[in-house]
Amino acid sequence: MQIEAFYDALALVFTVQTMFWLLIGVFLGVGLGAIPGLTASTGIALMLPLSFTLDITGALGLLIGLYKGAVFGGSISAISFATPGAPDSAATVYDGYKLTKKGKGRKAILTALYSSVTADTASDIVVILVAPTIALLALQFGPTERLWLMVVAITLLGTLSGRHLAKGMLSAGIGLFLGTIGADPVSNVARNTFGQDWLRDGIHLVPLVIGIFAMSQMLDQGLELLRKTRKGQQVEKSTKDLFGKSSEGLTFREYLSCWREMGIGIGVGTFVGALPGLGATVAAFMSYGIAKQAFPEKKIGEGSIHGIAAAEAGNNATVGPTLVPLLAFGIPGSATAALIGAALILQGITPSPRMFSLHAEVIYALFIILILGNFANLGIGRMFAFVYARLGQVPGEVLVPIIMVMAVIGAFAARGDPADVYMMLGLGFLGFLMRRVGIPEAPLVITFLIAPLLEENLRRALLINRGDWGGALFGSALGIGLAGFAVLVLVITFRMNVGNRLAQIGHEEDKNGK
Amino acid sequence: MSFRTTIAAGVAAAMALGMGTAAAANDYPTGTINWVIPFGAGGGSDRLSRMFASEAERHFGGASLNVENHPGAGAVTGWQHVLNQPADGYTVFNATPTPIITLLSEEDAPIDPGDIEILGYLAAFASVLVVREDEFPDWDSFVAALQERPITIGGTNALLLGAANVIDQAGAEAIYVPYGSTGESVTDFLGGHIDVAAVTESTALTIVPENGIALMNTSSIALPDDVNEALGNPPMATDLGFSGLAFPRWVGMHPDTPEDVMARFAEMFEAAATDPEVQAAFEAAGEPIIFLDRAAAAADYEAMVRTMRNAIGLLQ
Amino acid sequence: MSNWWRSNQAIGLYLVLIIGALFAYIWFQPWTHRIMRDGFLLGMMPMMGLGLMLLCAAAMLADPLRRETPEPLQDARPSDAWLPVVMLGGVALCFWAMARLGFVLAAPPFLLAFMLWFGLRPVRLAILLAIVVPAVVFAFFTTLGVRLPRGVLAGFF
Repeated sequence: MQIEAFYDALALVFTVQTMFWLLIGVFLGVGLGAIPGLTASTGIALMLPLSFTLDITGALGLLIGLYKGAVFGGSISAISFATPGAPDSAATVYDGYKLTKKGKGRKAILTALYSSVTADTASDIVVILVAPTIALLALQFGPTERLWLMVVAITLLGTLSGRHLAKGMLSAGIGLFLGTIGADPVSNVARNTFGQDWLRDGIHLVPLVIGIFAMSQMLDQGLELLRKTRKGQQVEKSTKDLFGKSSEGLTFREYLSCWREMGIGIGVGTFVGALPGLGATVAAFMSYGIAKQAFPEKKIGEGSIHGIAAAEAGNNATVGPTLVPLLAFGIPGSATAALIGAALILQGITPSPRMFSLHAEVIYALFIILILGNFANLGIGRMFAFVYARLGQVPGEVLVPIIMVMAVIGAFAARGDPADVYMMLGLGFLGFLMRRVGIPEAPLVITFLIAPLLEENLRRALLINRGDWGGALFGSALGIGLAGFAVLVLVITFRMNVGNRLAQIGHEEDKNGK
Repeated sequence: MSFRTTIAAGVAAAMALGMGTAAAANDYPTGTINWVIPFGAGGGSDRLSRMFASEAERHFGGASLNVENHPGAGAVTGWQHVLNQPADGYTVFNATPTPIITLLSEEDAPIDPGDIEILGYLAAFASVLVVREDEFPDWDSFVAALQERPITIGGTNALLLGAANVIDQAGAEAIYVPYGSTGESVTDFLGGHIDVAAVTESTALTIVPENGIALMNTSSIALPDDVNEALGNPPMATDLGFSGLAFPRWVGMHPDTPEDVMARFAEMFEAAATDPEVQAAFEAAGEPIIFLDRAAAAADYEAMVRTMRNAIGLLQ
Repeated sequence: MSNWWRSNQAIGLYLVLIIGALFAYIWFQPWTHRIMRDGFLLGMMPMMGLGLMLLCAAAMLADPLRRETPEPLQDARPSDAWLPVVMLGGVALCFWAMARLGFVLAAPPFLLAFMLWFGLRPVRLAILLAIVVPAVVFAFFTTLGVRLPRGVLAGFF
């Protein structure tokens, strides 16, 4: 460890400003996460323009705090209203809402908070111990190896496709198509722009994420408001219990009794989080599914705190590891990591293995912020979880128009290009239509991110190998190893029927979600 | 065009001309000069423009400088915006080679790189070729190797243009591997996946001398002495008899702007860019000012567009 | 069978037609078949995306789930399509006004109109919220240093 850089990092992190922005980030994160429709990535996308104006540690504190807070915050509305604040807390609905109906909502929220923070801290420590080693290995990753890494990520798409594989892959195709709009990566010639000059820069990630996730949700909810469906009223009574003094808390013994589920969550979350292209939702469902299979006697799914612990440990354990591919390879493993990467680039630091030597103090600062964020999350989560749940009670008539305006500001402020706003609105409509016919959004966003990287690296590998496909694809032992791994993932997905099992859970998610 | 619109256009033009010259002769500039950059807020160009606006405003005859971001379409949107504003000297365009590369890459570009009157350079970065010393100790051995085997050169599009320009003049060919960011290309260079990295001088300083040497500075404009020394005094393209290619942060105006307005602006711009205080501020930000006056900048710009037009063919 | 037009099979058919038309459009563009220096066609990746979409849409015509109707479509009405378009139009109008009048002037009418449209009562509350919320948002963003469009009020801030 470069002790000097570590001291520099301490000096950078332990300033009033950084602490302030970290707390603000967690505060906003829990709040945004608890609002259905606002996910961690939407929150970060909305706050990204603000982060540009801060110094590096302030920006990291804000974004990482927001990320950690939002991943936990989603569970609040999942438990209170059976409406996951974000897809990654959908698995929490099964047990959490049942506990709420039994008048044990407080216990459920506290279980979610403690298992989130425990798993988050454990996975952060793993990242801190392992990431520098990975960074050293990362220089071995040239275009060929990166290309295969992208292929591995794409093969994992099958698990995200939900019950209807054709629709999942269709979504992936849309993402691939949208990702090719703009200048060709090798020749810099415009392609697929429909003759529109303003499309030459391609579609920007921020309007895409805001449009597909936030705006499409708001259209859905606006429609529901105009239809005045009866949902919601019945829930109101039960949420009152949350604020009642008499409701049951969580004992330390109960917390400890969840250690196996949290262990599963930490293991699955850390591994899934570090792989590009998956993320918190898959980790939560996998962890939940494994725990459910492993301990049938705990009656997970019927209102058990163990189910909440498994799901929430699983999703929060991905937060730190999501940054590993970004730090080690400069490859964003998720939409959120891509946004944090963008924040780093705008601070003049390009995520790459060389960050560890060029900007060691920033890396250490990032690590310290990762750990500190958990304490902030614990404190703020505990103090405000119950108050914040009221945000979810803000009537949709008020919330939906406000979020629509925020979406416009978010899309515009990112680059200041008016075309981005209209693009966001168009993509919002696309997302709305996709929801209506049951096409999942996640594969679209993942191929939109991965496919252009895959293409660039493939074409670079081909250029370097003078058009020889054999050399470009299998020119190194590491490349062959990764190719083998991709095949293995495919075989496992189909053989072990993991895809099917996840798809079943995914389908239940659709039902239980909004 | 109908008779009526012809008259209307004629009247408008006459009015614009009359008012333009009258206003220009007397009291240019007053009020606000809009400083248009074709990039979004938060990037390097944005930061430098805002720094210039705040540091150098006092040289602009009492007028205030207002930085406007007009990003989009490969940085051409901002250019089109400038051409749509009145040619009165109150809209200035401050860009990099990015929009020029965009325009030259397109078969039917909406405007021509000549649709601007260049009034000065604020800075110019170079494309420096960085290699491993044991592979290519000097330029001659590099050219000899190019004749023998294919050699891969990685960098962003603009920087590859600088490399392609000199290598083409040396009568050789290389494989140009484009990257989205300098970080990626340097990572691949350090990992040994590509033979040469084409980088800016500031990036080169992070590689040289531990991990490579600066083989050649492909620019037409000399680097500051201290930078050159730190890079081990690499030969310049012009030293070897080639025409180099520099990547300027240039400043220009609508070509129809009255000449006396442009002359006045060029004067004020020179005073600002050569002010030691302004220069010190840029030095501190790690982006030293490399000033070229109107005549020198216009000549270099013309040569640059010509050279790029040729070099872009090598990369398509 | 009367509801066939809402089934996955029907959706697959609509998609095949739309994507097929898009594919034909791309295929006949002059840039699509231009060969780059690395031997790739300029239109290869876009066509791969469209090809994948077309394949999946065609699969929906025949796969085991073809008779099923997606849940949100089961009681879908024509207004499900045009109401969102109206909403988006409203948002676009709000942004168009924002660029000209500034955030503080453009947001309140939009918020008021949408809150009333979605059924918020009493009207007094909607008016109050429509004025207070943009003011708070503007103040918040301005304190944080993010410049929202100021429009005609630029001189006052």
